[in-house]
Amino acid sequence: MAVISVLDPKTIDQIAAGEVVERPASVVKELTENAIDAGAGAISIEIRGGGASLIRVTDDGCGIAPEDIPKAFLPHATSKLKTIRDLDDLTTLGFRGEALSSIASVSRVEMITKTEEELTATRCLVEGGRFLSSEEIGAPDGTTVIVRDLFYNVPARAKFLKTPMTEASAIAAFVEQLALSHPAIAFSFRVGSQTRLETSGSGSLRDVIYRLYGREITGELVPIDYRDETGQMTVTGFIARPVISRGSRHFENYYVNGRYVKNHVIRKAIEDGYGTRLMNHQYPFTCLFITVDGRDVDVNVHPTKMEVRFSGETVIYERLRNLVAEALSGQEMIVRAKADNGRRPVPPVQAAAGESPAPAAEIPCTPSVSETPNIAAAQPVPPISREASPMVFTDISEAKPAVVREKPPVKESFQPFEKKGREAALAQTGKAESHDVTEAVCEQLSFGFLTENGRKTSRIIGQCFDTYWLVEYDGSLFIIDQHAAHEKVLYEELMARYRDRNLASQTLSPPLIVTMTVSEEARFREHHEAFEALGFVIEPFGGRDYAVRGVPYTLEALGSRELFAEMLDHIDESDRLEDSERFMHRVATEACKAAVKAHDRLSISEASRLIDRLMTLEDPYHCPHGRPTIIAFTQKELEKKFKRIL
Amino acid sequence: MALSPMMREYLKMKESYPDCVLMYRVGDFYEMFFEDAKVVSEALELTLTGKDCGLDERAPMCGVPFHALDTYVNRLIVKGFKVAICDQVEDPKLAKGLVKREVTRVVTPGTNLDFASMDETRNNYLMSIVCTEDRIGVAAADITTGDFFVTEVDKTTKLLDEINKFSPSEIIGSDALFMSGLDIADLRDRRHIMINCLSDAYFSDDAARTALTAHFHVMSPEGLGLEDFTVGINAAGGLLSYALETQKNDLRHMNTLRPYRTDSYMILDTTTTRNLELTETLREKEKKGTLLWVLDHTKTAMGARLLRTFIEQPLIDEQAISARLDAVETLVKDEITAEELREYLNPIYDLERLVTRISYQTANPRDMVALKTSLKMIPAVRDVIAVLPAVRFRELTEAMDDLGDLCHLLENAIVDDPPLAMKEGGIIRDGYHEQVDQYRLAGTEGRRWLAELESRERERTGIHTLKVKFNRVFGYCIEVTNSFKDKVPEDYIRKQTLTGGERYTTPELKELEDKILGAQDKLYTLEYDLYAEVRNHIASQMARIQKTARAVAEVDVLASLAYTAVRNHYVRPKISTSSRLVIKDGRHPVVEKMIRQDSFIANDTILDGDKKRFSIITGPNMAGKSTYMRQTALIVLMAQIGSFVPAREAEIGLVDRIFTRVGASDDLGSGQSTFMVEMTEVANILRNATSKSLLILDEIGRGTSTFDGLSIAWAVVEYIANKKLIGARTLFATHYHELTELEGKIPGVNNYCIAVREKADGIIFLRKIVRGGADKSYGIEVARLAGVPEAVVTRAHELVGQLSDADITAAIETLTGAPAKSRPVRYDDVDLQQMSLLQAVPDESVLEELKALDITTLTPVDALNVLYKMQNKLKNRWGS
Repeated sequence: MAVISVLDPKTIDQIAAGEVVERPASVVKELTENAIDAGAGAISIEIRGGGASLIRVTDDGCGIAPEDIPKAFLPHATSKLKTIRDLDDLTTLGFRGEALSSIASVSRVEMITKTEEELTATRCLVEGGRFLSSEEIGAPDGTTVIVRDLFYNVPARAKFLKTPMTEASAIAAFVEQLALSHPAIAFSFRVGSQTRLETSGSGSLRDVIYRLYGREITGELVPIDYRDETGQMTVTGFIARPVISRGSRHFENYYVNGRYVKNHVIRKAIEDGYGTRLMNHQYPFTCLFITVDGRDVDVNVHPTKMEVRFSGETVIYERLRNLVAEALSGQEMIVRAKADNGRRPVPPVQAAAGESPAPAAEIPCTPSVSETPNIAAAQPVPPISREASPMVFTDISEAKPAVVREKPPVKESFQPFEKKGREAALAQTGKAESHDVTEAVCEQLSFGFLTENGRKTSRIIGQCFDTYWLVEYDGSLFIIDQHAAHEKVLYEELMARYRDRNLASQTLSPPLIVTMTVSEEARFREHHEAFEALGFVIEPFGGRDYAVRGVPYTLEALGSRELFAEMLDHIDESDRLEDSERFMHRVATEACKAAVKAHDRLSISEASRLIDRLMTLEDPYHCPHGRPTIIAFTQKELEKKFKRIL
Repeated sequence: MALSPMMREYLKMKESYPDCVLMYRVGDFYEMFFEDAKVVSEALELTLTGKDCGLDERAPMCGVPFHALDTYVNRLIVKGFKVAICDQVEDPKLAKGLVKREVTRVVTPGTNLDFASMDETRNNYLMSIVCTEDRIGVAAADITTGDFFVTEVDKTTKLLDEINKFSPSEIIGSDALFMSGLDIADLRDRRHIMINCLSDAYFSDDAARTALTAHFHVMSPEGLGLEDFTVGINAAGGLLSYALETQKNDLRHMNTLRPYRTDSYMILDTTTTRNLELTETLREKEKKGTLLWVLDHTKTAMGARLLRTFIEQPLIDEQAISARLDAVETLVKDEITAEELREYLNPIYDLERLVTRISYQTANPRDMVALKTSLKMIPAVRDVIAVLPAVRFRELTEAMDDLGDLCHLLENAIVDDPPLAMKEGGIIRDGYHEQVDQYRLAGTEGRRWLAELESRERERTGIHTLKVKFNRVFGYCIEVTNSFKDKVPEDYIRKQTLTGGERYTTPELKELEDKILGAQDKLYTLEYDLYAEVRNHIASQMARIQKTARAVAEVDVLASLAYTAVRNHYVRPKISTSSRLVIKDGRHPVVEKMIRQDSFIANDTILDGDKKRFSIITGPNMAGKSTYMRQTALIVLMAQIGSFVPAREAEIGLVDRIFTRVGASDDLGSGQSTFMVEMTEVANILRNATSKSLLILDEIGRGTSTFDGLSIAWAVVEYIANKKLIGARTLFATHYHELTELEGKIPGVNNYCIAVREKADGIIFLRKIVRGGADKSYGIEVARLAGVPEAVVTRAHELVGQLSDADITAAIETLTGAPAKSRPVRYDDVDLQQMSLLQAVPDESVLEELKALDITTLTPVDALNVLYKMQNKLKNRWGS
């Protein structure tokens, strides 16, 4: 029969330690809170191995007198409280008397501490709860605690540690909170030999926010400074204008009585304060410090001190919500343009980094003034001489009137749809949803209208904005981006031919003469094999001129100067020839992008043919850049949008 | 057989340049003959060959290709040669007879313009020295940046300080230089400064005045602020003449001459700059580990150079220092603005050297784009500092010329990405000049026309595969494959045969081709002319750019100082003209960065120029005395540069000079014994220190016998501490703990020591400075720490008790009047009172002490003392 026995103190410690010391971040929390309570002006934190191999916290606070050191490591010994009544007047962070002893019981601790009065510092070693040694050494004023090999004696717990990187992130997140809540303390946080965070300790919260979050957010801060009549409740700090928002609550931070906590009342108050200024599922940036009377808040809810409970919840909720709403109502909500009238130019390097990637083919809505009428590029065409009169395409001549005829009905049927509504609808789908839709579409299309049967039963409704083709099939509305689809088709064909070494080029006669700039020329010379491989035929023609005699089959739109130049532009120097396949991809992508520009209006039969070709591809759902080519709405989803069904 | 005409020319030219290597341009090579050839081929490891010269034997020759000239010239310069470059000044194709040749440039270390080989963070100075009976004129100029300074000194030692400050690569002077008392050989061989002796003519009053007035366009040199510098005028004029001669260029970019007084800066002599490791470490002569390394976070090359100058020339004017501190404080308080400012400074290139290149007409289109990029940032920088509260920023805003007009010019005229070459077009932007646009259009149209020619010819001849092609050698032609050879019409003229076909031209084609190529040539020439026009215009605005550049450099330095202050947690020093030097929790700026973070132990320094003006510091070596003393000096220096300092609080009474006498470093090289060098430096200090100086003296009297050394040290202490003689603030570290007797005897002297905790098995260094004198030097303990065998250490312990330690103490008591009325605090007492619970002193060590005591030589008083000590040790044992 099992016998009940009383656990020895050491084991008790270790079990209790489990509650306090969950992971390296808890150790950092406890040690830094001690440092703050010691009145530190500067705290530096260093970790290695995610905190599992080493955590060092150094402060320049008051230190521990030599005679107090042994007591410091006793459980339930603290300098911060004497009786339970003191809990009411709590001004310090640590109080439960557990931290150092808990930590020391599950790791190897080295502490070096010196008070101002003492000439020497004391260095002691504690391992697994046992006091090993103590000696005098020279050190600066303050305390350094080094925790090595956390959980070395409780392997079960060690196993539960996440990867060093994850643990390090948790610590980093914690240190960030600490820095924000104590702008008057200079923090330094190092992971290995790299400095991750440094604050100046100047006392300015704004400076800390700047260091942590950068200029953009700092530029949108609205200060909050509130004191209620009795002086019991205060709220200070900053919130950011709604233009700053994120999909998670990561930036929605608040502190109660100097402690970083989570509380649903506060959260709701803040979010309601923002109200409709924020989109659904978008959360703001806040950094608020709320102080209430010590008696009105219970911090002893959980050992990790992360949760708090309020006694006057409604009052707090209302006050806070109104504060936030008022602060925001006085603010301009329009997104500001970045440049200050061009007086502050963005330094060149930054500009390059900050530039958004070149927008996807901006389709001019009017037919571009092409040098050659090329409407039928969508159709496979045998190489022809430009000299001949405009392409002889019986299809086209039929199609032409078709286009003309089709247009008016297309426009009319879409009048009732407000552009805004559509855009809003599209925006609402958001990234995640479009992805889902694409998945759904994949399902559909695999035995959907892209199949032979599907084609017959599908109905092309028409084109809108000269860009999208709308198709109805089997209870769903499919919207196909004509240009993306076209690009994809061209690209795949080009790449297929490249792989098969079936490189046909289409002769341009007369050849297109292009004058390149020095850098363009350099780039071209470096990669001319890739160009040739794709089917370009380019020869020098004196000076910096080059004669483009041939372009890849089906991309004869590239025979125009502007488009060719644009293509060259986008193939920048960062594309090296090391990975020729990748470079090929790049060139092809750009080529197709350029090719598609020239074509805006397709007739129904052309669209039909395009869809045909699309369906023969392996992945018809994404253009070469990864953007979707097809979006789908089921009938049900449409009805939901109109709130016909819930 | 007679010498060939070319060789005769060569020899004649060589006579004019006997002390230079003459590089003679012949075709695509620069060649050297006879002696030059032998010397250079050995120095540069080039092949020595020969050339027919008309004599029986071939003349020795070595040569380098023309495009590699600069590399080889540089290598020669570094090896201490002077190089005269002789070019062909007329087009060889047009020359009748011998091609005309002239020396176009003489390159010397001080006049080297090869920017690529230069360290952009340092200036390259040429210095000129003129000595008369009572005064010495000194001028220094950096031809690459346009800086030009002039001053006068009255002693050789001060001259050395100036040489040390500028660190020139070349010094010129007349014969009088050798009689100035300067150790020329030392400068030349150890410090690698080229010494050029020129004729007096350069430095004569007339020549100098003329040179200066002509160059600076003033009526007289007094107009340049040189009223008080009569000899300085000679030096400056001589330098200018020399520079003009070697450059064969009008040096327009050197448009300001800045006279200065050596006493307007804190004087740092050679040893101090070296010992404090301000810009160069003692051992490796590198930047890492110096004060410059800690402070340098500048973003521009000009800023880096200026920071170096700031460090080498600390200020002594309270207002000027406060102005700098105010500016730095503004940036320290506003991190966001400071960060923004540094971002704007980052893309700015080295404006000073760029402008010089532009003035020399060697700037290429890419340089112009670099200039444009830099100029673009100027308004931004200006806007930021314009709203900062500090007065200095106000002044700098004024000094910064917007330069918007130049920026626009560059933007409009030059493309964003021009080639390096200047004569191959592709430089001028479209729309800047109508004619350029037209030529380009003509070119493009012409070529298009050519391309269309292809279609027309195809139709005309019926040859569908006919092509119009271009080839560098043959130009444009019509290419026809063999199969169609017969269809070729009459007017086709065959130009070239290929394996698969033929190439033809037609009169029409030829005409067109000529037009196109002609247009191209005209285009390139026009582009170059326009480019040169832009360049010259910029050159004419040089002064504005230089002024702005200097302002930008200072903004950069202030921003760098602020950045360092925030990152390293420095504090603003309080500056005053009093003698109070009080530092609380001071740290050594370099050492604290080199050791583990946060582990530097801070110390206070209190020197009030009155009751506490002379600190005698005792204690074992390796314990941190030197670091402590150096940190004090560095903190003072940093404060007087205008930087924040590493301390909790600092009150800095301005210092006019810092003297350091620290250990024996590379004195072995100069052939003097260590002690001799030490005494020379001490002599220098004693003669030149004032009551406002700061003295750092480490181990005076070490290099000689104990008694001599002690006596000398003692006498030095008395002398310096005497307010009527010097009375300077002094930190005096010594291994003669006997000197601790002087506290209380000599006013102003106080004892400090570096705290050490003695344990049973050794000592630990606490690195804390405490009041009181060390009674023991712990030398034996240090020996044990260093690893000296235990047997030796124990024996030494035995001996130390017996040796005349007691004798000296007794002797001193006699000298100073025994017994002393107020006994100086002995460290041992301090030690006892602070002995803590944690220190275990086993019984054994007390017994050993008892055993080792030599009672025969103990005085009664001492015996009581010893007993007292032992009792305490026993009583304070753990547990009792």
